[in-house]
Amino acid sequence: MVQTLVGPQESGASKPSSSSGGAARRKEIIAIQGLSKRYRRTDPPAVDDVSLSITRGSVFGLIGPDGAGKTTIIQVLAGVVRPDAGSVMVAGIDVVKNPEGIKPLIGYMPQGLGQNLYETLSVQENILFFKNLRQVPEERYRLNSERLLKMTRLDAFLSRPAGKLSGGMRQKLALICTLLHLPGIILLDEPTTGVDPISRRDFWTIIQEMVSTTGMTVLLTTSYMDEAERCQEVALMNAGRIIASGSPEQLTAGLQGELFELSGPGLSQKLGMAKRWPGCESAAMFGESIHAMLRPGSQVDELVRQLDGAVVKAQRIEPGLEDVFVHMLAADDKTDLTSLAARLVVHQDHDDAPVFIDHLTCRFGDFTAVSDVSLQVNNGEILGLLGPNGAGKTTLIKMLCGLQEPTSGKAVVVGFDIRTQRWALRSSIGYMSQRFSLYGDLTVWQNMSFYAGLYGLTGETARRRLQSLVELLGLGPYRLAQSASLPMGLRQRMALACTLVHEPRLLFLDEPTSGVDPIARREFWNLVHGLATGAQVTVFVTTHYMDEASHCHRLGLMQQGHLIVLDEPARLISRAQEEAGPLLTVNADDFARAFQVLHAAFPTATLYGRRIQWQTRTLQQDQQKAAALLEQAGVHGRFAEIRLGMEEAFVHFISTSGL
Amino acid sequence: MWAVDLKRLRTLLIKEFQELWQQKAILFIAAWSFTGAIYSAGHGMSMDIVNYPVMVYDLSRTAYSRELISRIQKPYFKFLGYVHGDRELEERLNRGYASAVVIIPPEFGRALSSRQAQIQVVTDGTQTQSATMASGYLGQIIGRFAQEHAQANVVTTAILQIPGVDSRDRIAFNPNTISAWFSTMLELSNQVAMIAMLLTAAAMVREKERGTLDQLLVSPMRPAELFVAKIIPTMVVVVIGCAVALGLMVHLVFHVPVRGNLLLFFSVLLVHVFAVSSLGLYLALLANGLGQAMMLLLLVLFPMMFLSGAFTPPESMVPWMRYGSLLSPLRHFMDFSYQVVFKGNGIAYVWKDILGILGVGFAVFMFSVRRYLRLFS
Amino acid sequence: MNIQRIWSIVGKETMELRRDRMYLGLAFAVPLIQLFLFGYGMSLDVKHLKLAYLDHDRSSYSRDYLYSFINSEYFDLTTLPIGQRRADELIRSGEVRVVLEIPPDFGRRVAGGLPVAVRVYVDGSFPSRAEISRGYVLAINNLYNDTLRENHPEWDLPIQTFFSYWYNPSLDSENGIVPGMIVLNLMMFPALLGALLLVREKESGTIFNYYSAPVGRMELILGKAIPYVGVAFAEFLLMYAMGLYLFQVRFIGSVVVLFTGVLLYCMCTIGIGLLISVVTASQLAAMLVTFLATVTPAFNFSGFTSPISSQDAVGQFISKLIPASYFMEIVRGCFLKGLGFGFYRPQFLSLIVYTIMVYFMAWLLLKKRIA
Repeated sequence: MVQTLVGPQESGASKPSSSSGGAARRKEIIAIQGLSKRYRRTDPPAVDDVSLSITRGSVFGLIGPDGAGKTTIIQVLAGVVRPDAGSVMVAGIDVVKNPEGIKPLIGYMPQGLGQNLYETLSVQENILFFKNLRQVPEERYRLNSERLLKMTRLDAFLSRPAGKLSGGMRQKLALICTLLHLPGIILLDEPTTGVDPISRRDFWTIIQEMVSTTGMTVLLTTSYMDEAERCQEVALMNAGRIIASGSPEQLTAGLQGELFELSGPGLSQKLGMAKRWPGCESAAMFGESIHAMLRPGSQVDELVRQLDGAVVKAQRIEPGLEDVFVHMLAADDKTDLTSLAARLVVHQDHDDAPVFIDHLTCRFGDFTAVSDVSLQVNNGEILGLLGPNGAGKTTLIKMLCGLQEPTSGKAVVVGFDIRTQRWALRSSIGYMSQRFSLYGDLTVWQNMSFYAGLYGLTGETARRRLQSLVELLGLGPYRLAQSASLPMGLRQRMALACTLVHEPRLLFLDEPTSGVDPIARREFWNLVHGLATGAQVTVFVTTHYMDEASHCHRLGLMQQGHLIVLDEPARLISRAQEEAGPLLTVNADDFARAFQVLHAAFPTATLYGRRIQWQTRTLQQDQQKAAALLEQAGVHGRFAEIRLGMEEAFVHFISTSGL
Repeated sequence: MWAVDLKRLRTLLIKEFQELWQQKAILFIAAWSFTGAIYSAGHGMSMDIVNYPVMVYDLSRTAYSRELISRIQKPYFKFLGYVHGDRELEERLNRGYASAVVIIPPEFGRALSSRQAQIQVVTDGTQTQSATMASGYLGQIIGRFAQEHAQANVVTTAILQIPGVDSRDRIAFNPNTISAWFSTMLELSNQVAMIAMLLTAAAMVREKERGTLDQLLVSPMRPAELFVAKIIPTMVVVVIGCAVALGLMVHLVFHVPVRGNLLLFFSVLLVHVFAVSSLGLYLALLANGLGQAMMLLLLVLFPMMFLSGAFTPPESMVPWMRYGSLLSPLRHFMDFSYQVVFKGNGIAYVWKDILGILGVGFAVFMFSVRRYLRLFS
Repeated sequence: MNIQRIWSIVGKETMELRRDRMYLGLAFAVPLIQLFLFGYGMSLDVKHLKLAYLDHDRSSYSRDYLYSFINSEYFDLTTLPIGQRRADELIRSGEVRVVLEIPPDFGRRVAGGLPVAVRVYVDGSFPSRAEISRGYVLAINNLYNDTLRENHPEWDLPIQTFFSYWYNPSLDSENGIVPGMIVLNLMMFPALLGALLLVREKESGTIFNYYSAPVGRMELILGKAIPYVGVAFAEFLLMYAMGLYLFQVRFIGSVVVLFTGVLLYCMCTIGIGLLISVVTASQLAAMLVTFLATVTPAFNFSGFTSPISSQDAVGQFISKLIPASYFMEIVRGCFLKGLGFGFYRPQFLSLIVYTIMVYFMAWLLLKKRIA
């Protein structure tokens, strides 16, 4: 599998140091000093006095909420934004003075799914365009493109227009196009937003391969913490400044206090209580459980007592990056969105199942978009629907909203038949689409009034209803702001407000957190939990994110129109682990060298931040073999077994579904 | 399908107006269409000749020839001087400096008294219409000059006057045949059609491109509500635009007498705009993006304009065009607006046009609605 | 400048064009349809105008006189029974365009060699049509008078005027309209196509591919322009063929000169579009600006319907600012005048300077940065 790649950056030691352990100093390739940028004089600075140093051959992640200044930094490095102050050196070239000078050395992938692709051109033609544009020599082009296409499995779709690819495939193609000239540095802006898990894996495989074989430097921005954990170094940004940086391990180790995971049924109702407890530094929902950071000297038993019996289990855990993020950015936020959400709509009291689907099928000509799906959703349940683009999620939801006539089968949604009672049905459901389809030109209040009117609420009733929504959701200060000017998190909240105006019994959320930063995402999920458990609103979510999946009560996986599994998240993970084995991880100081060695022996091994991991059913044997190999190479490794994540489970079910 | 909830319609309308207000580029174009475009049409798109550049190749150089030349003057002609030789004459015409050259032969004076004078007029035939009119006027000038000289000469004979038929013209509604009176109204009705389609199409394309259409489709909104909500803002803009154009541009700037019943004009205008906008909506649904929508719009607009009868009267058209012109909503509207605005005609005169507007409008509307309803599957 | 890089952009643009069949189809169809309609619509002579006559004389003279109307193609005659409906009424309702009233003593005066006046009442709501009708009546009168005077040389006018029309001896309107329309269409449509080129990529975000790559600004501009110059040239070829074969337009000049001129002009108008594309941010704005900046000025100031030298100073100045004026002379020269190459030199020079300026401006204003 390992093939020599011929890159342009012959100069300097481009290979990761291969001899003397982790102490080897690698060269600095990006140096930013005192960078500032303000777009409009009246706005606060987008980037405020940032200094940053990135070493050659590393994967560096910029993380932070929306509007923190991540994209600006990337664009300054790409030479498309001129900074107001500061010096920016990339590979020894002054970007401020000579922006054109660095362009042969970099690859830049802007934010958005396959944003650099031409829709009508085929996969092959897109690649050829980038080859010619970048003047990639024939030989290098042949080697790289063949290999990249094989790794991404796009070689089977060479003649398909980019516009007809799924989101994941688009993003992989975009990456190929960015990597084609083998740049020394690639700048990726939110590269995996909206990408399905399998594509995301391919994506990371390519990046790791390129880093380890060509010594490429990767700078990416992300708002997903599991993504950030794959980076060797991260910088956490907020409001234009870097507030913490280092390896993920350093960041998590830097947390003061002890972190406890509290679990138990209906615990989401108790979050506010936990937050207000004085011994608690910060508390947040992680799926169905609460992560509480205790101040030094506080006792967890006391907190468990405070929550009067709702906690079944409390255990101390090692913090992840997400905990760091939440702790650093939202520690002061004591609002309790979960119980507040219960007040957004009146308690729904119904006996019948809100969604009842019986052998529903939808065909378009020869193509079966949804094939014989049956399921039932209960009141107050959050049901997640996972699957790659084109798996049939959208068609299924369209049918449930009465927008698409099913070919056969039947479905009853909130008591209405989807074939015969379409109009009545639509008044009792809420639908929030992927891009929070709102009118960007209109203000928050105008948008909300519009939705109120659309669902028949006008005059004083509407005004009062909107007023309470605005107040509860903290949109008050933004009432008169143009919605396009708001950060994604607020837009999402406004979109939710719009869908709740008419107090629907059933809520459809289509990829509700695309492009939203972790804090806003977390608040959003707190709201959704509150709606479901507090007000018995039923929620139907489609998503690509494992992060989101863990928030659901039940998860269904769709593949090529079929619903291949449907169960609780924890049960799905257990099942996958039983069938495919747990993860074996190796931590080594010289992780790059260790990865080279292990990847040769275990082709499925991937580099995850600084650790190497692979899934195995023969744990003991693998560990012995790996230990021996590492010893031979003179690298010290520490082994551990960890539980599968949702993503691995997902990949497992898809690959064994036989479709 | 056609149920309408008035409250919801109101909500949709408010939103459409709020959005329209934010579309400064569109508003600017609409404002331009009903003022600047009409102004420039009134000035520029003249079909009659003004300042037609004429030179003279005077080989006789007599008082007679100079007298004749002195009659070639404004407003129709602009005398640009003499040419001195064939080569210069050729050069001036080739370069387009002069568009006509009057050649006065040597011994013009003597020839005039012996009734043998000949004058040659060479005209640039590339701009055919101007050329025709210019030679007509030149012929008139020379003819009148000749007649006066003939009369001066025949005083001695018994006959006092030259016999022949002459016409006494009277031109109704526009006695001085001021072309701006016509071209401003023509431009107005063209702009009405263009803005009606453009505004509606742009609003619909926007809704489609931004994905908000899906959001609307899952709401209890009825098809008719959206349809009407997309068209009414256009109608309002066009009506306001027309009022401004008629009052300000047509009436105040170009002094066109507005004689007719404006209530009738605006009521029919509304029907017309409704039909044309629904066509714009159709184009938006058909197009993939704004570029295509604009191209489609032009594709529809040009034939509509040329079949309107403004360039060629329907009776002069070849039969297929004449019948084709009946399909152009502009033909009926144009005829209607001239009759009402200029002639002050009432329903008794324009009912045929109104019928045409209604008929074509209804056909266009049904055509668009069929495609539109497919959105709701 | 790197030729291969330009070529790569050309290749991509060409492929994209080929994929978007509807857009490409429209890019060809709309100018052709426009030429077709204009060619027919504007060149159709105003004929068969409805004329109602009121003959108070009813003599053989008045009948003769009316026959000269009937024999012309200009008017379709209907009688107007005396005392039934007033002439006003007919004009008002638009049923007839002209009313002709012959006085009771018409025959007597003509026979006695006296001048006589007929009354003509014309609908003025279409002023140019009214003028034309008046002109027709005048011409018919002249013809009639000529026959009257045929046997009386002493009544002849002392001056005979001979009219001749250069470049278009039979004054076929197609000869004037079709080449003119080609000039206008090649102003408007290439500019529209060009105006979308960069702004579309700005809207979709693909513009960053160029911003972040070592592509020169001129390379980008030329790479974008070249395929569309090809499209514009193909548009021209179709219009040229339509002009020659369908409208039978006279063509006596040099094909080489014409085609070179078209190529230059298309480069120029595509460049104007690109320049607009460089400075605007949305497709809608780019299109509307292009529309305003090309269509009206080209129609009014390029010398399409009336000579440039008849414009006032401002008009003449504007006509110097638009490339259509220069190109109009080349096109008319080639189609109708058939002149030697020396004639075209100033126009070609102006067009070349103009084109270079446009591309230079585009290059100057194009920034490979967003802020």
